Amino acid sequence: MRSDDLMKCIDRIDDDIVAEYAETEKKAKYSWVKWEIAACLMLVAAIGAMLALTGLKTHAGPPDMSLVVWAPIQSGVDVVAEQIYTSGGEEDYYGKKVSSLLYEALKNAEKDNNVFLAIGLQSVKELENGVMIADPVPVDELTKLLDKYGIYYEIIDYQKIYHDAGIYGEFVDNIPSAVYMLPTSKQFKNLIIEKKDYPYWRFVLIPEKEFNRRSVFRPERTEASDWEGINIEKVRSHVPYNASTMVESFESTEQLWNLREYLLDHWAAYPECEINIRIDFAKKADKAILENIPVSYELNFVSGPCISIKIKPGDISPELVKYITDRNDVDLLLLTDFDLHFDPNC
Amino acid sequence: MDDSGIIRLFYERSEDAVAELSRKYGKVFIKVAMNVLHDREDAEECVNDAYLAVWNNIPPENPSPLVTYVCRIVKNQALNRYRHNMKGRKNNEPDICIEELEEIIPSAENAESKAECEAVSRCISDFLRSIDRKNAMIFVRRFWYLDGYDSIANAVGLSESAVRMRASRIKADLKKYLEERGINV
Repeated sequence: MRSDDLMKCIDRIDDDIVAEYAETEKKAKYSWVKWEIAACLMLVAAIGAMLALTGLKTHAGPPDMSLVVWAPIQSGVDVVAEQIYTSGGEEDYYGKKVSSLLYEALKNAEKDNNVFLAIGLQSVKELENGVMIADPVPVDELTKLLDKYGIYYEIIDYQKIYHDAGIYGEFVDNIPSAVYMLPTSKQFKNLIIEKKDYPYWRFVLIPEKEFNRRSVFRPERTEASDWEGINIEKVRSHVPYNASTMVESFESTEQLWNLREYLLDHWAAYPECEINIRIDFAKKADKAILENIPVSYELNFVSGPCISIKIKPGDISPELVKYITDRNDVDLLLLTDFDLHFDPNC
Repeated sequence: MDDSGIIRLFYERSEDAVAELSRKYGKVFIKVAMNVLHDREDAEECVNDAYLAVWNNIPPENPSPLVTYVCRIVKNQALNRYRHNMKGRKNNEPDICIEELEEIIPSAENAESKAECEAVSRCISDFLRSIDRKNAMIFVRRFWYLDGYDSIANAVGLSESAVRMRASRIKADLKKYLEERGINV
């Protein structure tokens, strides 16, 4: 008999038999364990549960030596969405196949603040396990690194924290000083390598809105000198809600030139930093207009009325500025992935 | 959520259907795909493809038990992927696993029609209902889920060699069972 035929014969055995051994795996296993052993296991589990409960009640925050990494969800979902939709519903950031159905399910889950997503199929696994993961850090990359350096880690379910009154809420509110916002996986890697001696890591993964509501900034860019002469409150007043997103209208070339000068000055200190400049073409969407931008840029995605380009420091040329300002249909410039170091009065 | 609730979500075209299905059985599906493919990414892709197939099939279908239905899709997706990956190579593991049964199941000329194949399947089902539960589990896990002996041993709480020994006896018993029912090997 051919293997295919054999496979068919086996495949057609009654469904209930097949289901029984898929669903009752653990039950069946334990039923064969001698009852004495089972009782011991239950006792150990009960003691463990009691200890865990005690620990929860006494821990108002993470252990002293812990490093808490906040990995906010940014625009990953939307970006992935656009990647998927604009590429025929098949490919995501990493070129893996993703079914649009699954994506829809995930997106819907995120919309309800139930699940936070990673870019890539790793999210499927994590979704199954009820664990939340970070964008833009690919989880397999993350865990490989953590394992490589022997770092003990746990991923904390923010939903549980959020809804669990008292203990976890207090933990979230008492954000330790070592708070990192990690916009790129490269920075994330560097952080892990740099801090690998920390014995205990916790990844608290939260949605961007929540992150921003708490107005946490990137510590590596918040030296006191950076803030001198800047009216923070005034800057904040220009930001309607999303603290990590700079929203400003530019009505004159002069303003954009000032912006350019400012960015070039500040980026010099952060050569690896990238900035996304997102241009909203409120009146029409036309991918073709980008062809005339006389700078190197990386097209992230095109969708609806919005075009996003990624520009590295130094790439903001006078030509680009002129191009943007000369266009009648550009009436809003959004800076994303950029914190509040920009003084709108400059 | 019980299976009927999940199926109801599919009928309502709710996107929660996939999430609930994944939450309840996702690990089983991944395991089935992994048994064939031994590659996490490929396995996850197969499971995703299976979710899409389930979404397209329900409604109108109303499978029961749901887990077997989806597992079957996952397994077939995985086998197709495996064959695609192994094109031109010999000795792929799923076939080796099934070859263990070739000495028992009738030859091609005896079971080439669908009806005959179904008759053999029915007999195997009856056989599995008649034997010790643990042995049935070993058989199903090995030859339906294409699980490895080490994994089965872990699941049933026996050593791997003991599981192999049992599998060998089960096959001998199955052969006898089939012969007694006029299915010659």
